[in-house]
Amino acid sequence: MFMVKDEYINTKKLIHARFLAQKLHLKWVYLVYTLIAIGTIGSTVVWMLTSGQGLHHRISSDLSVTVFLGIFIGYVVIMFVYKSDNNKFAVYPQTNNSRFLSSLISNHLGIIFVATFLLVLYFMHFGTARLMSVFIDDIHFALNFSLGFVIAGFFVYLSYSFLLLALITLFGAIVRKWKHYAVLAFAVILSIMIGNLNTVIEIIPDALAFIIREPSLLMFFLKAAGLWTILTVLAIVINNYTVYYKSYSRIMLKWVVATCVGIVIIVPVLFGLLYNTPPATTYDTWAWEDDHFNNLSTEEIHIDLSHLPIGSSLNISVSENIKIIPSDLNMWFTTREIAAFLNGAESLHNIQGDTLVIFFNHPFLIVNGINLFDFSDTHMTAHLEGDTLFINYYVENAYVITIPTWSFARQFSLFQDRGLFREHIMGSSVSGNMFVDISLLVE
Amino acid sequence: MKINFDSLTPVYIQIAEAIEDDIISGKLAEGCAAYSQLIIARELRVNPATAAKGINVLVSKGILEKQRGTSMIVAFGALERLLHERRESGFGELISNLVLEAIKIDLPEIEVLNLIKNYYRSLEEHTNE
Amino acid sequence: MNEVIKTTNLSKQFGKKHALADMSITISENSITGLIGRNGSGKTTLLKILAGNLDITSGDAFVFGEKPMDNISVLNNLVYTYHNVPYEQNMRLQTILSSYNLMFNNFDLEFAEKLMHYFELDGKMKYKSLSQGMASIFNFLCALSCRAKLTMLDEPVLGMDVTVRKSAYEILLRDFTEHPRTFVISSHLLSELEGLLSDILLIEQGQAVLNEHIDDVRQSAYRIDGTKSAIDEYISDKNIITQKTSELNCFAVIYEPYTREVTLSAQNLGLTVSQVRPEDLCVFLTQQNKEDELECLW
Repeated sequence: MFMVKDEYINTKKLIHARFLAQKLHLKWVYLVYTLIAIGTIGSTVVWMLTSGQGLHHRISSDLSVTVFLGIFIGYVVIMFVYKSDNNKFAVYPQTNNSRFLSSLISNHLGIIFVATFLLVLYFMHFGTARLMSVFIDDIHFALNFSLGFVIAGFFVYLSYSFLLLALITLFGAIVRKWKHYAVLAFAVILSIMIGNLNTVIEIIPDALAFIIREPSLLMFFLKAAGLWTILTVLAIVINNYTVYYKSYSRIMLKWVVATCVGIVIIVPVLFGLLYNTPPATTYDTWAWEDDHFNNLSTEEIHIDLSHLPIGSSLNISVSENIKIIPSDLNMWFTTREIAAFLNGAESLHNIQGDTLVIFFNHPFLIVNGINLFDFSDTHMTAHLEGDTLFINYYVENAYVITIPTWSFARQFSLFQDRGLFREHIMGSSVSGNMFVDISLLVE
Repeated sequence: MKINFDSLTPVYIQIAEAIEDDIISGKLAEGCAAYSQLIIARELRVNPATAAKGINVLVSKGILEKQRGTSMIVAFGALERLLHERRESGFGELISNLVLEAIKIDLPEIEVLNLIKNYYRSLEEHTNE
Repeated sequence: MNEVIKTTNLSKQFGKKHALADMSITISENSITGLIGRNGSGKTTLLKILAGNLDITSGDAFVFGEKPMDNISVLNNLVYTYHNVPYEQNMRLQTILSSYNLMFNNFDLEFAEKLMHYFELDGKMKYKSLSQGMASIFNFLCALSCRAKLTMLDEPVLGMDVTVRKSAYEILLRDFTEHPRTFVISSHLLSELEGLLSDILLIEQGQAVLNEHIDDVRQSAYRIDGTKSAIDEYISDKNIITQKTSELNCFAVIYEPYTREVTLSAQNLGLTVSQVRPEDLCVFLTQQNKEDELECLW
């Protein structure tokens, strides 16, 4: 018999007792993330109010990814300093199994609390931005909002968190049971991995593909539940046969080892999960960007010069936000400025023809696969006054906000091609401003 | 009532003797409730088992009786019996200690008897005043 | 009387070191046993084994007739506490009391709160802010409030000042009379505890030297003082524990029951007879003769 009835009751009580202690830590987590949220929301509001004319883009961090990393290092450490973590409850009645189960369950509960808090923060941030967009017309959201996605993504996030927690728990149980042999085996594996890092980075996503590339939401939940069950049952069984000594713990060494091992487990797994994640869209994004580049709409503006005497010269006056550059100089532009080539500018000093044609290539700025200029109209005007050519560039005021969440959920066909995600999680793919080519053709 | 942990007399005997003293002095009357085990344990800061042992000594001597319910009472005739016992053995021990001490300091028998007589005289004079 | 604790040939080794060697003891129900021994004699090891916190190398240990380790029906009726129990350091005392209340079926929360008030501990204090003395008081009152059928206190009064200690003993004795249970108290200060004990368990180097009722222990030896020749004559046919000769005083401790006859025969030789306090007896029984070493210090 695995546990007697009184042990189940004891497990429940222990979970409650652990929760009373865990509340203290959770308070800190909530505090830190509330401060982050206030900072993010506050700076978003400030950004909106102070950015001035032009096209602006703000992207906030994917909190769910940051939290995933941060909390997991924490739980890894906890599972490894299992004994000193459990010492806090050593005075209460408990058995080997009730202790292990209560630790396992209360860690999972802790994750649920943190994930729920993340959800609340997301709604706070998104809600604030949405509220502001009611009063300020120029606010646009780069990502679409879908409540179903937010809820489903929450459960995907929980599933991955639970899986990783189960893995860590199993690992902890193995190390506690076989101590030196386990650490030795692990050190050997670690050195092999470090020696063949490139291969490792390729292999791990493939090994995990059955779950991290699973396109069907339902199948994913089934697989995750199955895998979690296997890992957890293994851990429980191994722990059942481990004798637990409440004495002896060289704590300092443990913490160091635990943190190192924790990072070493997390990093390759996360690499597999995140580094080679599929893009949010099903088509080839680089090709798409090339196409977009190639299919620029080009505007032509014709200006009648017939009233001017041949050989006369024109002055050019450009609006403030046009920066005229020599062709090979690198300059930095904000989204409200464009760079302009003036080809054939010399010919303006000796006008020969009747018509001036200005070719205007609409700019695009792609951040994480989203073209920001989709949200803001741009147009050029050019007119002649006396002997001065006035060229003006207007950018419609637009604030584009990207508030990403549940980036893990991009693997599902249900959520792809719906504009729910940034193109890539880690780092944004940015296409720079396109140069507007003002070519003066004097026919 | 005070317990001397340094005495050669076992603690429980000290408790029994203290109860006996209280019976002799009239503090505890025959037929009335004696001290309970718990009161003794609490007041004297001794283990209840030790207190119980002391009480049991007196029960086996017939000084205390267990009444229906839980209380112990002083048995009828206990006072009589105690006085008798003190005269017989307790007093005898005092005598032997006195005599041995007298021998030790080389005091002859006549002197000892004289000292006893003088002390009785002085007590009488004191009560007459 | 039920045997609440029973060990037979209990041994515990840590590597090469024997913490407990072939120990066979019993502790009966509703007794207050003083677990006496020098530092490193194995007191804490014994208590931890009985509390199910430590595995046994060989032999057996039974609590309430069963093996205690991983045995929830035994552990639910047992509390083992010491002067610095580790809790979540940032927890407030009131929350820790709530945890105890949760985990122990018989925990008397009201009693614990009254004790907190009596010892001037504020429930809002954090555990880490307690001094050693306050932590000892807190752990003591928690253990007492558990009203566990077997309550084991490992040096519970460490750090407490004299007044507080006296209160603690009095409260323990009083609560014992109100709610009888089995106590095992390990302590260095036997002389203070002596009054409230009913039994003594003296251990030395992992072995049980004494496991008796305290009255028997009190009666089991006596001390004689006098001249060296008188002592030598007296002890010629007796079982002695120790004998000391010096300029001012010679004495011997006889390991035989004290009777009236003893006084007489001793007085005949001009010797004075006196009681050996259990604490002193324990010291005599376990001391290693370091007196020559002591003299060499100066």
